[in-house]
Amino acid sequence: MLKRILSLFLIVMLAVVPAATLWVNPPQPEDFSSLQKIEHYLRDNLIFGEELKEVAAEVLLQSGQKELDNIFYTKDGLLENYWPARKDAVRSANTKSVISFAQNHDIPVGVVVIPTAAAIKQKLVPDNAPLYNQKEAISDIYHEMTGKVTATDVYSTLYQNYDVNTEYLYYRTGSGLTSLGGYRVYEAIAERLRLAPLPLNRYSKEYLIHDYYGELTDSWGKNRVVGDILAVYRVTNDQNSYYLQVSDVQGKTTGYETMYPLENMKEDPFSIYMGGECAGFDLTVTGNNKGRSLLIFGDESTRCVAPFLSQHYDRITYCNLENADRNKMRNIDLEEYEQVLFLYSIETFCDSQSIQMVDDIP
Amino acid sequence: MELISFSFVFVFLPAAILIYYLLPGRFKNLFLLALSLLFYGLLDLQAMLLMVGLLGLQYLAVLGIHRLGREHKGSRLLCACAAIFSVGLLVLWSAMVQIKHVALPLGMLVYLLTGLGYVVDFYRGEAELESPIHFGVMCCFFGKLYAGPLVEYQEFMPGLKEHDFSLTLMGEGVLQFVQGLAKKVLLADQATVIYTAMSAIPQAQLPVLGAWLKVFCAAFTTYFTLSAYCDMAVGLGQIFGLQLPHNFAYPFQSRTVTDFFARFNITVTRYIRRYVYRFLGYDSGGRLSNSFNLMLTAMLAGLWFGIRLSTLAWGMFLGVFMIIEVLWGHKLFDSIPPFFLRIYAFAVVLLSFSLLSANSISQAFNTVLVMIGLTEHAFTNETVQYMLVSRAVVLVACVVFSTSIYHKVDGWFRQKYPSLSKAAAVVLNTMLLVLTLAAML
Repeated sequence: MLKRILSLFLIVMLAVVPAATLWVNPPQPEDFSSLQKIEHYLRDNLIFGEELKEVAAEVLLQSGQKELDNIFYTKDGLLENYWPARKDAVRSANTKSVISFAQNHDIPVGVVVIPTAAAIKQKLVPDNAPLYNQKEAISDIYHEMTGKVTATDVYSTLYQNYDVNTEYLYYRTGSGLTSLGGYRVYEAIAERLRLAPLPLNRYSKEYLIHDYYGELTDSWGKNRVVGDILAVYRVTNDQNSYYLQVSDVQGKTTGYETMYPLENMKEDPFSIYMGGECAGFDLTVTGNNKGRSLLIFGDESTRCVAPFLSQHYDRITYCNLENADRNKMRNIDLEEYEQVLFLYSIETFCDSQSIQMVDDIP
Repeated sequence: MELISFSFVFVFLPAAILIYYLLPGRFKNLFLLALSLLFYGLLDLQAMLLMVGLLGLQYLAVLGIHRLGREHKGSRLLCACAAIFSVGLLVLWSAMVQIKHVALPLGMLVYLLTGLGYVVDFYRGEAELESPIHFGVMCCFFGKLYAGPLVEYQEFMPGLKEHDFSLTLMGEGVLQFVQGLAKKVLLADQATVIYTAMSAIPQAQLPVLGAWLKVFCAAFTTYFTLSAYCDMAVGLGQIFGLQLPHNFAYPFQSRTVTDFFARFNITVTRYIRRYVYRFLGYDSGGRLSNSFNLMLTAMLAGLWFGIRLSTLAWGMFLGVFMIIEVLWGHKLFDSIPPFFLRIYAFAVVLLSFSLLSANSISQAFNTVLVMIGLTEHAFTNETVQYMLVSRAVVLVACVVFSTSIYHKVDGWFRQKYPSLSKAAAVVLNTMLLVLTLAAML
């Protein structure tokens, strides 16, 4: 009898779960446009999906496993374990591109490779967990560039500054740098470029979002990690005015009178940092009168560093080669800039071939 | 359509069950065939069309034999042509996999061999002429396309003709499917993670403990993946009133290598015995002839995993032990306690998996050298320690569920506390489903 009850229960479950999912999270017509989309819809909206993730996380932790989908659970949030996808081939080609860019153009070139949180917070990673030696990889990159490009070591700066209680350098639920992390990178860059960095106490902190949950919670769920705080740093009594022109991935341009546009904060919390993910932006600073302009080739990490650099330049142009239009790239006029900075996370530098697009710049 | 996906479990399967049970009896088999083609078509349309074409050719051979009569010389030729064509195609495609790195279409081995088995059975007079629908369902029932089991006409067809329906049987099918799904997601995939981590260590740095862990996990991954898919196939068969044979019977606790072959991939070994070993005259010849037959059987069992030198070597390695056991082992093995026999068989089988999982014979040989400490390699390293500590529960679970320990404990519990055990089964299976879904997310 019990066997029949169990059978009935399981059969009913097979029918009830999708029906309840459809009821609770009504799908859009496009969710049924392909088998893959149906799978995504069910995976993302499955009824009690968050609770199931919690169950999985709890079982793993109880079994002594603190790693799920290559993401570590630690007392300071979630850490993504980074391993280069294609060994050293991409890294080496990117290094060569940066060097040849510096050799072919008569303009000072700087490079910054930012480590991931797993390297900086490695003491929190479970004992013996295999980690990619990011310090060595960054040293190798810089070693190849010695004498040709000004390289800034931010690994040591971030590693020495990191403190689980006081230095909130990386997001707990995402893989990027926080504003404070951005400031520490800026500090190191400024010192290397002899720019006299503004001390941290010259900035006032504004907390905009208190419970942001990044992409790493997709695996571990949200309940066992503290949400992230998205904050912006503004110079106290700032007399400068800013005009930010952002080109999105489709090529559409939007202008803002601030570095921290809050218009789209609800849809995309990270849009508060220089307008969100884009192909590039152009920031004009009025009032600085420094007579300098900077061209940055970078990835998403740039958006938390650029606001600090704005105090030293009249104009900062950021180009995300991952999203950039190759034809527009060829039209970049290097004579408009005094310096070029390659500002990349180690993930992009080791895995993305987009950096090699700089070879096309005349 | 992937078998292990939410869209299969929560959309395809419930819809298929509902329609199947609402349909009148005479349409059920046609629906099963259409369902299987739809399942395959959603996964890979071209491969589905290829399957229809190939099975069509095999069925034409059967019709030809039927028309000519079994005694006719042309029938023999047709049967031989079907065999040469089917096996030749498999060999050719496997060679393409090796040389041009093209993928072997999913289930090709299963449906071609099942179809060929029917052609041979029909030629021998051991099967009747069936409709294309019955033939189609037997060869390409969607549940067994991934890894079998290989079904035989005699055991499959009666069930197909007289579907046995009951809520209990259907429930058992759902349970079997859920347990298979859990086996794949919770054990096979986890063992694969450890195996992949060990394989990522360069061979020259592979520590002794790492080599052992690598081979252990290769064995667990192979066993749990294959048996999980077969369990799911058996479960799906039961849901739709079909009886599919079980394919594994705790092979890692075999007492001899011969016993291992009787417990591992049972339907494949049975297929080889039925269509190859029987053709060669079983063990009626002399010692040399018997040895040759045994070796050929073992080698063919290895080729089930792909036509590669390492899979052939896997079969040959085990074949050597099988020959020794069959020809000279009777007296010796009778005097050894079962516990030591199991250790012997497990050690041989484990070593054989170093061949099955290696990219080359030399790599397998090096792994064995590391395992037995004949190299300068370190005993362990951080990766091995991390995997052993963080995946200890997975490893223990793999050991428990690859042997009959759980089965025996469950049996004892059922006998001692019959009512409680039934309630516990409800709770345990529900928990298993929840955990599996959680792991799939």
